[in-house]
Amino acid sequence: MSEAEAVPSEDALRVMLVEDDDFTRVTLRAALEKFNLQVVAEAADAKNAITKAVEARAQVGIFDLDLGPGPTGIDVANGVRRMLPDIGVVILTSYEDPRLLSASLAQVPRGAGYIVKQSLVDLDFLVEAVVGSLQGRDSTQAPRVDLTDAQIETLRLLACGLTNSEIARARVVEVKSVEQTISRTAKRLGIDGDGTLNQRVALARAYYKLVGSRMSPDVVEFPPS
Amino acid sequence: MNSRRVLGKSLREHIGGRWAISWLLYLVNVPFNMLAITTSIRTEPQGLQWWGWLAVAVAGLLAIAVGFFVADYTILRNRRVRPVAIWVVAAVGAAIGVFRGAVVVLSSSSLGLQPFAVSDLINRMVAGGLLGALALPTGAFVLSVLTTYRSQRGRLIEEKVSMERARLQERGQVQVLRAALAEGVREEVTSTLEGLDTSDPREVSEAIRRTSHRIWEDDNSSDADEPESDTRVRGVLWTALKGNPIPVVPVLVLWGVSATGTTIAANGLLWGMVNLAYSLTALWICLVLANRWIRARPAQWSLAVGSMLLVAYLFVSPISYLLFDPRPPDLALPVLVLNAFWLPLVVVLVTVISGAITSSEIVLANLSSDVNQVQISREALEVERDAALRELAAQLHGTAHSPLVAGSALLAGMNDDDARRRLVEQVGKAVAQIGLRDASGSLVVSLVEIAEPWTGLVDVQVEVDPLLEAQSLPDSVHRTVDRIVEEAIANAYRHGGANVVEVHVGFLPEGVEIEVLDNGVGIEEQAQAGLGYRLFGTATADGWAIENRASGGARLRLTIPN
Repeated sequence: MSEAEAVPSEDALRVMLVEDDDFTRVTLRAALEKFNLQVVAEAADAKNAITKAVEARAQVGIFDLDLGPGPTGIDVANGVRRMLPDIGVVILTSYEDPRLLSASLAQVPRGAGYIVKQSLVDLDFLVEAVVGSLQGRDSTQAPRVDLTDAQIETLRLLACGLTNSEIARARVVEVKSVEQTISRTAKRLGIDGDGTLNQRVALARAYYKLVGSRMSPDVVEFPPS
Repeated sequence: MNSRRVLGKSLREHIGGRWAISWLLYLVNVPFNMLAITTSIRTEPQGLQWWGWLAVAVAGLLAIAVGFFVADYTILRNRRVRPVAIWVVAAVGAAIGVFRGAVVVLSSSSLGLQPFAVSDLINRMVAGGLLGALALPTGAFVLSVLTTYRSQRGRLIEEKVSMERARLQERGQVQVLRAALAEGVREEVTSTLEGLDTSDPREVSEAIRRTSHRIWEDDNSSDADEPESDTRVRGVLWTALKGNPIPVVPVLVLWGVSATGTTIAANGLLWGMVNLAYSLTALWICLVLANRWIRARPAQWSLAVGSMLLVAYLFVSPISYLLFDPRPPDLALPVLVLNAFWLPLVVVLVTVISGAITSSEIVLANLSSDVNQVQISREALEVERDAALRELAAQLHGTAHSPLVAGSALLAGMNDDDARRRLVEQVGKAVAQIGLRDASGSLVVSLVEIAEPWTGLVDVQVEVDPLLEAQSLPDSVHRTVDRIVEEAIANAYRHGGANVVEVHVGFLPEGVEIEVLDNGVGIEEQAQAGLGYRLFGTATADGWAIENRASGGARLRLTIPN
């Protein structure tokens, strides 16, 4: 739409943005264009991403990991790679570990950069990752928090509000083993069971901190009595 | 003979299959059997004894029942698996007829209703055997054709209706329909609340409940107008009767066979044969004349058939009685009455059967070639309408019930009429809004919503059995189906590299069957997806299976028990 407005130089890198949050996408676009990168396509979902990427012959794609229900940014990146095998991939996300999003996540595409939004204090770093991804070098590995797959999944389900027996059912394990996993996870995350803090709440908060979401209490409207 | 196929089944499968013996046929036979006993009333040593003859009729019925029962559990036991030969069914029919004939003669003579005569016994047994040999295969054939037609039509219609519903949904017609229905419900609720003493929550609660029940029942009372070309069974029978000439030879055979025994028994061999020859000739002339009339004026078929049958009856029965029957009038009257029923019945039966077979084949062919699009559209809209109404009623009964009652309590405190009316309007609107949220109950809609974000990566085709859509699934099952389909699509894409996924959700008596087909690399090369496989395991009672398809890709199948 506004591609005509951008006036990057001839050899500017052709970048596409896949991000479901409009504000982030607009801001990111403005920022990237300051660094002489040409944002040739933008999409908020998988449906548009592939056609737009092909039409605009994008060289690098920046993908948000969490695109809401359905495919993740990694899925979309893999889909785009099928059509444009040489495209560079950067995953830009608030998740400190992709496993926090989903237990059955696909492999991060080969040579992809993984940037956690919270740790992005300097845009140079992002630009570097974009350029690096094109050269196919593993610029930044996806970070891994110091938890096992089982611990992460348990933590995620706990944060979704499931009880221990529900978690046990969902994971097809014994309730006892869920309890153990929870206490080990708490220990790893440095949450002490000293009784001053509800351990479950603390764990849920820790999860939301790891996925980059601030915990503000929902405003609940009570019906008139 | 066996090479002729009707509705895709051979004659042997029709006649020697499931319907070779059926209690439905037995029930059909009951009134005929009761009437037919009148032909046995011949000589009466002590005048007419109706109760005695009634007992004989019942004995005859019991004899047939015993025959049916024995055949069902012995010679015809495996007919559902392996159809028996047509002659076997005819032989069974003959045996039952012979048995009944013997029982009738023996019981009537032992009750002292008539003297025992060997010639009478033989006459009755031969007549019964002939009739049974003809009636049992014919009955089986008719029932089988009708049920086959019904199930084939049902399957075709179901298929078409689900296609059509998807099409309507795409075109937004369903939304319009639902909006209109919701508007109707809103008006109904509003008027209910307006006329109420809203200070009593119990009364309001009761009124809302009644309204929801009325809406719920409303969807059954709406099939008043018949579609133009009715493809239902009775429609096919009706069409068959309307247009077609009477098949002369089958009518003569069926009528002749049924009359042989009684006529010979009544008139003796020589005069009986003469009587029969006379009757058949007279009937033949009448039928030929009737057919000429029907062909010339197909629109006046009923007049033609009716008048010809009347003429036929007038010619055949009373004249043959006057000419050949030695019985006094009060004993012969039942036979004349029987003929008045039996002859038209034979004609109508034979006409309908032969016509129905042809027209049902034509109807099925038309159905599969989409000629009945209008009717299918109508049925789809009706299904959709019923579903929407039920949903609205359920929501009114469940979700909207308490807010409405609470709202009415607020109403009670209001003296200002204007404010009252506004609040009632508001409440009504809220109900309509709930009604418009059609996604809540529909499995198709929720699965399409799950598939939608994958557009561009995976082409997901969702197909849900209309039977499932018609009934409301328990929430837990609905959620499980959603989760499994979600997981299966993700697995097919992530681990199989598929870009086409077909999801079929089917109805089974014991639960919901899910089948997911993809065009990916198959399962050997798929990475073990922990959560997905565990999820399939927990959701199913008798397990699940994933296998490679011959055409490439994987096929996941599982059943979620109720």
